[in-house]
Amino acid sequence: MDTFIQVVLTGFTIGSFYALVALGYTMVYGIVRLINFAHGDLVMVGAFFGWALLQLDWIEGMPMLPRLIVAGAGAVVGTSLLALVLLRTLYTRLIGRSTLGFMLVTLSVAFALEEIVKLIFGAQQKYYPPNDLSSETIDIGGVAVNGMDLVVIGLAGTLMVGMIWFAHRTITGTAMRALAVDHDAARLMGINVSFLIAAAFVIGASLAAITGILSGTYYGRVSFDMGFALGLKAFTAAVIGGIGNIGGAVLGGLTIGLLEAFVQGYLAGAWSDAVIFGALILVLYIRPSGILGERVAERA
Amino acid sequence: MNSNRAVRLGALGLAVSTSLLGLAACGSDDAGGGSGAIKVGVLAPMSGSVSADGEDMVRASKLVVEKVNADGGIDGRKIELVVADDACEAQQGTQAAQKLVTDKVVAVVGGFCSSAALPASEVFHRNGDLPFVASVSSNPKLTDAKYPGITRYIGRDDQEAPVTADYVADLLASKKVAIMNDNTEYSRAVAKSLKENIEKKGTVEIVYDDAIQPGQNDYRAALGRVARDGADTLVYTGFYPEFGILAKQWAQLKPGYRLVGGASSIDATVLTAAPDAVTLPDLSIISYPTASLIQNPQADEFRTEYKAKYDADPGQFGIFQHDAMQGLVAALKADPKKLDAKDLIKRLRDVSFEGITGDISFDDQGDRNAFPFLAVRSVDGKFAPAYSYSPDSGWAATN
Repeated sequence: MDTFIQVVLTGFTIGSFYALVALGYTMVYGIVRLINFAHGDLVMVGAFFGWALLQLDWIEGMPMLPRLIVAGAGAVVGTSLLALVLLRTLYTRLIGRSTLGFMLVTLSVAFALEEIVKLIFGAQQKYYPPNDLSSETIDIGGVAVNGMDLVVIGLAGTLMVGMIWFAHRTITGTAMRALAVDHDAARLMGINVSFLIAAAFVIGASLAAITGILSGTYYGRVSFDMGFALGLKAFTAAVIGGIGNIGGAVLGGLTIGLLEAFVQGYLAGAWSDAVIFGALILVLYIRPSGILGERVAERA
Repeated sequence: MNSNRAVRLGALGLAVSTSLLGLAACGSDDAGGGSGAIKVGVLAPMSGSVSADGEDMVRASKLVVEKVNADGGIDGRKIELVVADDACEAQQGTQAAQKLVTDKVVAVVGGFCSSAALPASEVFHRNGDLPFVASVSSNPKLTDAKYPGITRYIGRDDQEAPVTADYVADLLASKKVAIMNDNTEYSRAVAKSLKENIEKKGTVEIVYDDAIQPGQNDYRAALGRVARDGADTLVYTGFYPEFGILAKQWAQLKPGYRLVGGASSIDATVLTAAPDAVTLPDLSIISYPTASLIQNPQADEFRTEYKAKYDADPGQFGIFQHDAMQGLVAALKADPKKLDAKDLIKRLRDVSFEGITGDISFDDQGDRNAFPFLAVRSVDGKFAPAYSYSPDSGWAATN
């Protein structure tokens, strides 16, 4: 078994999860300059939407792949709707008015979501039904590659490229970048600000739901408290890469994934969180705005 | 939060009112010498996250008591159970213990969470060493306090490490061992003690001693490192949620070493999390002799009676409560005229019988002289013992 390549592969898989979640932080930050601390828990909500859908009778007879796709689509829709409801009822009033208020409200929402899911589904971990992709492992040159490794890295890569394309090659994406530079000027140009804010939240929530479904499908288990630590590390990834910067979120996510794998594989697993947050401090000390820098749109 | 406070206030109110009742009843009847029912306390978590285990303990107690009462009781007197809820926490445990003291029980059987049983044991000690027959609480401190009133029916946490060391070095004949913990206080302590016990053997080299961070989901890098370090056996001392994931990824990597789970790694969810891994001959999990695993005629009888009466399978730890209650009954019957604490605690220590959980007798600290362990793996979708351990003969294959 070639452990070095195995560790790199593992790092890329973990990193893809972090990158997908980091993209959500960065999208919202890029537009409203605020951190949505409930974002990590949207991953958990998506994972539970998916789990609940997979338990339904009418879906159980289907072959695994369409079953996962239906559950995944349901989770994306459900999680996006939740994000929209939260935005309209709680967040909109605070955006642009109170940075502290927004942070505290999203933090409260994070804990509330965890408690609600715990009340509905219980504190025990839930298990996704086994699937061929995650239970089959193929040996490629001494490296054990799981089918889901390829799905996770492939899907995450596609979504990231899609996001970059969206930001630079579509009207909505361009409007979002314009909004990131100057809210008032963008509004004067006739850009529908509240629509774009909603779009950013929906895109972030969709990516979170996809992450939740992928995580459940690959690792098999989901639990009500899976989101917070994941969210915190993904947030760290976004900051390391340069928050507000799509390429930075991807780079930061992969950096953290590889760090985690290498610490486990070569240093001391007991220290992995210490190393990750140590890296955050180091990066911010050397480059206060992250590796790629906090991107302002005109430099994009 | 609010409901929690309401529960606490309620419990406080209950404690106050019962202590008033207790005062009112003072002098009118005496626990030991009277002729009415003999009151026996049951200390168990009836609320909170492990309330199912508390309910299981009460049910197991009732099975014993109802049989004794149907057979004429203790010298003609019936046993009456008084259940006190410790909620698996220190404050409630203290209040529950106070309630039992004021209720004038002759002895208390129970204790599931050590966090509640330890403060409760202090209350019993201060109240004239009220006999405390501890059933499921496994924290070494409980008997290390050397209070004369305590006898314990389950093994001690610190027995797991030497037993696992024997398993790895003697039965599996491992030469290079990796030890992995999950960074919790408990898991680290077991890992440390396991390392010391393995090193004492002199035949085994420790090639890896590290932790994983629970919740990270992907432990393939760590599993690969264990292989690179040349281990022939990996022992995991952490809790079952991560063990399920670990076993699944271990089976996928096929790293060529054995995987041994510690006594906290066993749970039915592991069967769901890693269905392919748990059937492999290279995987085994060390376990206490719990209700579904233990194989002897008494255990069969217990499972049948329990199922018939409650229409459910027994929980994993009720058998210890069952044996503890039987031990108390034996001590009561030995001299039914003398039920005061001073006499009873001596007889509780002298009890000797074959229970569901093995041969039962106690050392001068109140711990079991011989406590059995098992090593299990999955057979036909259920955990079944592959090896069993007894202090006399060590590890051997079960038949």
